Amino acid sequence: MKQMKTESIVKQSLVAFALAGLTFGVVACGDDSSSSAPAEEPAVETSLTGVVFGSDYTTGELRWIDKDGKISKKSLEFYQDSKVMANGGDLYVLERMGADNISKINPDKLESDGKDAVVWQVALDGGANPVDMAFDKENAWVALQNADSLVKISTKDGKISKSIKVGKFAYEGETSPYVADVEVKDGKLYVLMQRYTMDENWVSTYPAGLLAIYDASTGDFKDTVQLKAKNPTAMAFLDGELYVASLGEYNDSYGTDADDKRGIEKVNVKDGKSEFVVTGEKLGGGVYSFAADDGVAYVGAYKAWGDVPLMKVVIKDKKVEAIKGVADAEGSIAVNDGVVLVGDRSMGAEKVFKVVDGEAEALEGPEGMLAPYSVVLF
Amino acid sequence: MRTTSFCKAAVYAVFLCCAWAGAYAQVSQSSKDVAIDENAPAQDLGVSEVEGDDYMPTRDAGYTEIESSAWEGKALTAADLLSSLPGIQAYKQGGMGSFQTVSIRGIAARNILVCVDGVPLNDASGGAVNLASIDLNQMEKVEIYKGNVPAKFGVSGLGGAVNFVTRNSIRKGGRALVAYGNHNTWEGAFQVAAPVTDSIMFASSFAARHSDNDYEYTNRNGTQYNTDDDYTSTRENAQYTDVSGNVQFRMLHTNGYFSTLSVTASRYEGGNPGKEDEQTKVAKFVGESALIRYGLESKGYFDDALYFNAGISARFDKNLSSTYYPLDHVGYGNKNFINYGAATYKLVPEVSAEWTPVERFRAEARIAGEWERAEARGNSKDWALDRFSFLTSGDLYYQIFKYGGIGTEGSLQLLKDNLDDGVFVQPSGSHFLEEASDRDATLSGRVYSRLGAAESPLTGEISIGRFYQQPALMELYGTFPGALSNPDLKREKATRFEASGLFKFPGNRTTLRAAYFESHIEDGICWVIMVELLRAENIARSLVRGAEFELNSSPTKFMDVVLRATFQKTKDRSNGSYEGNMLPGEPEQSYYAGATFHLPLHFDFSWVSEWRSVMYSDRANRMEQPAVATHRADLAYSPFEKTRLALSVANITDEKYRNFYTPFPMPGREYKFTIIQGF
Repeated sequence: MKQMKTESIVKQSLVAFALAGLTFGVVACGDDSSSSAPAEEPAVETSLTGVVFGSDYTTGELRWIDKDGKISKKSLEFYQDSKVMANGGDLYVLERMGADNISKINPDKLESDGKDAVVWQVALDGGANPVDMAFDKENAWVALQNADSLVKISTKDGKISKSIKVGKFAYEGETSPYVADVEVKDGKLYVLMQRYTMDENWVSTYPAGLLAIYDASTGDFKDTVQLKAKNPTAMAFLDGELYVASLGEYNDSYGTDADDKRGIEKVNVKDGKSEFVVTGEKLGGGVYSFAADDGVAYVGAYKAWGDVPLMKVVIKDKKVEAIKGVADAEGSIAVNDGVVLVGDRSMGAEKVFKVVDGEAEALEGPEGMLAPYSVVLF
Repeated sequence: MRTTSFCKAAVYAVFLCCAWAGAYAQVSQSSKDVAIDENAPAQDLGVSEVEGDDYMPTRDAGYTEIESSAWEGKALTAADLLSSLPGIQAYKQGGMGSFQTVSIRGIAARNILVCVDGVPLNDASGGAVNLASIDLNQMEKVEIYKGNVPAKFGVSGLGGAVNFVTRNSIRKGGRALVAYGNHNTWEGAFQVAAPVTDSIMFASSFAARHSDNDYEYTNRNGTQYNTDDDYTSTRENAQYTDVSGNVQFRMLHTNGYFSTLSVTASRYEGGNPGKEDEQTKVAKFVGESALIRYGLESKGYFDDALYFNAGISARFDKNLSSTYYPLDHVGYGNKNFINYGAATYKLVPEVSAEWTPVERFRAEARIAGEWERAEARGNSKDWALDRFSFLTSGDLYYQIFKYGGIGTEGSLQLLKDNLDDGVFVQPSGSHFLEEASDRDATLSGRVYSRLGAAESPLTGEISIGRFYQQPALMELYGTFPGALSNPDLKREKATRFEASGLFKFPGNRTTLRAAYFESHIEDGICWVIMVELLRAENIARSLVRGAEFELNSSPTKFMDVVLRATFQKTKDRSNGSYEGNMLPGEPEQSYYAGATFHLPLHFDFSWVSEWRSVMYSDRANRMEQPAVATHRADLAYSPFEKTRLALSVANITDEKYRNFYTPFPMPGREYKFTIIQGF
């Protein structure tokens, strides 16, 4: 990403192209939890608690968190805004737009072997922009945000075995429906789509989000559910129910309003209906980052530039509570077995927090660590 | 990294040999063993000495002038040329036409003033000036001010200025140049200057360049940890073409005044090839510019103690970049053909005066106004920004005694920004600002002392200054797609200390320059991404300390030698992740060793070896560019007095290293054959 003048204008425009894409394609930035059915998860056998992917939108680094909660001094470089996924004891890095590939990593070898911990790395189509994975036994469905399809890969070697065309759900004139998140549950593949479109002036139009359902094994299309909110960012299953979080449209100051047009909605897949559980009125804005476990959701509520506080939402009670200490939770959220990890990208005060008793405690990290962009727990 | 210990050793060897040769030259001169033409220039690598008058010493120790002989017939870009000087580092992104800039003494490219004939190319965008669009074939010389921006340019900036001077209508004559190189690179230039009447001189020039830039490179397929899928690719959609022309009239009036009217226009167009594994198909950039300038130079008054200059220049620039996502995959998805850009207009009336009432005292003053307007172009929504500036600057110097003097220079800048019709609309269409923020007056100043008389073998200068640079319009009001406004941006600040010395060895065949520089930069502007939106912020603080050395020698009339070295420590002092890191693009050491041999039968052969230590392309210091040695050879043959044939080979060892995060392939070894015919 770059800037402008005679050529500088060219460079800045390119940056701008990329950034505008980021701006409007903010979709899948929310969910960093592995998207697999709990019953199908392999046993977790790793010496690490989790990993942190840091990015300054120029370079990126993978660091790991030991059992004592310390972030590693060593790091492994990946493309700038990569996302990390965990499946049991395996780690996956999705190198997004510009690199467009997937790496499988043995997390236990990161400290000792560095780049040799990479089990395999496979390239996807140029511009595919992988953003999420949903694991199904020895395979995984990969959401390609800027392509017109999803692909199914083998977790053994990364080879593509199947693809699903989703271009028919794209907004009029678009080729991609801009998939934000994928989940596999009870043999079904759930695909969350933003379906936005952007004109030549970079102005986006967001229709209501769409959920498409496929057979996870064959890739056969099953059904769709029209969502309430626009610009959905992530989804998660809680107690067997599907919840979708949304950012909604931006306001004139590139913030989101605290209104009832965004929030968290509960999807009734059987009836094909969806209703808000918690709206932006309680959250203070749209949902930028989202993770949920055991009846509780954690939300990065996007109010304005650099103002993304962390909120705890008890779904059953529709109760919303602010978690102190996190100012910019755009660095993603991960939840697992009551442990909550949050990346805070506050300028000049970038940190990874662990939430304990409603308070955020910063993890000990090395100097020079890049701002967290994606976090995951094993 | 392909740099070998052999290459490194070769550079050191050349450096040591040349140093020995230079030292030996002094012995020869003092012992008069070798016949020397005392009137010959100290060296012939295009860098000229700047002499003072009989009493006053060299006007600026940080000043260097490079003449066209330094680049003609050689495969050098403007950035290559400038970075051959100590204290200057270059950044390049590819072959001809690709983005390239320089930093000076650790001051970033965006803070360097770049001018053509004194008219700034820096504009409302605030980014670094792209030196790739400057065709050296149009230039007669390049003036480099490493220490500060002198009064005649307005003293607006954190420090450092480069002024490209076009071939002008002062000297009668002309020349034609044609060149051809690999990757279908060609250049053509024609200049003529002739008297129209006894009092009117006419000059005109035209130049064009092109390169297919279709070089081969290793495509890593985006997988840095999987080399099995690497393959060889050819660069696509990287072609570049530019054309430029200039017409100038210089008139002597009956009252002894001179008028100069010049019109310059240029256009460049190139493909934007994208990254190594995602080459584009149709993405491109186009730039157009025009400059009209009228200048009036007075005759001398009061026994030539006072001169006046006045002028007005009008400049227009338009830059557009375009892409079609379905084919190019640049940025994120957009089904539309995107054509984004801006046009800038600049009008600068100015008057200046030079006053030397007594031999010991010299003063210069300049008053200028400036109107700058930036507007949307391409298919983005309309927006327009105006900036009105008033700038006054001056330079006073008093030679207290024969061996020392003191001077001061300073500037005052007042400016007012205006948003079009009171409402500013961003290209993305959803951000509104009703009025521009008020900007504080900016006062910059420097005091300096010069030591040594003009004829002294040892002269020096010591200076300290405080400099400011206002944010550019488009940094304040975020007109770039995906960018937010930040009207509260503060001025960037720098405190700079410099001490330099020049020693001329007996016989004037060898000179040694040395300089120490230190800069403290505060509130540097960087683009920051949060919540995936871009905004300019005053977050950079840094410290630069360094020393540079240059030895010029002509030990015999058959050989000229130049040795240069830069040692510097740069430190990012910003809070957060980057604290303590090296500044981007700034190696700790760099060396340059060049020798020209004037051979029999009108042949000249020159060899240049350069080496620099590790540097980083980013603030996080993760984009490492390993230490590298490069070598260049040039052979020239002059069968007739005004005819010159030249063969140049640049980057002989074919260095092509690129970091995974900077996947812009470099062209590697380059050949160029040039014919120059003067008349």
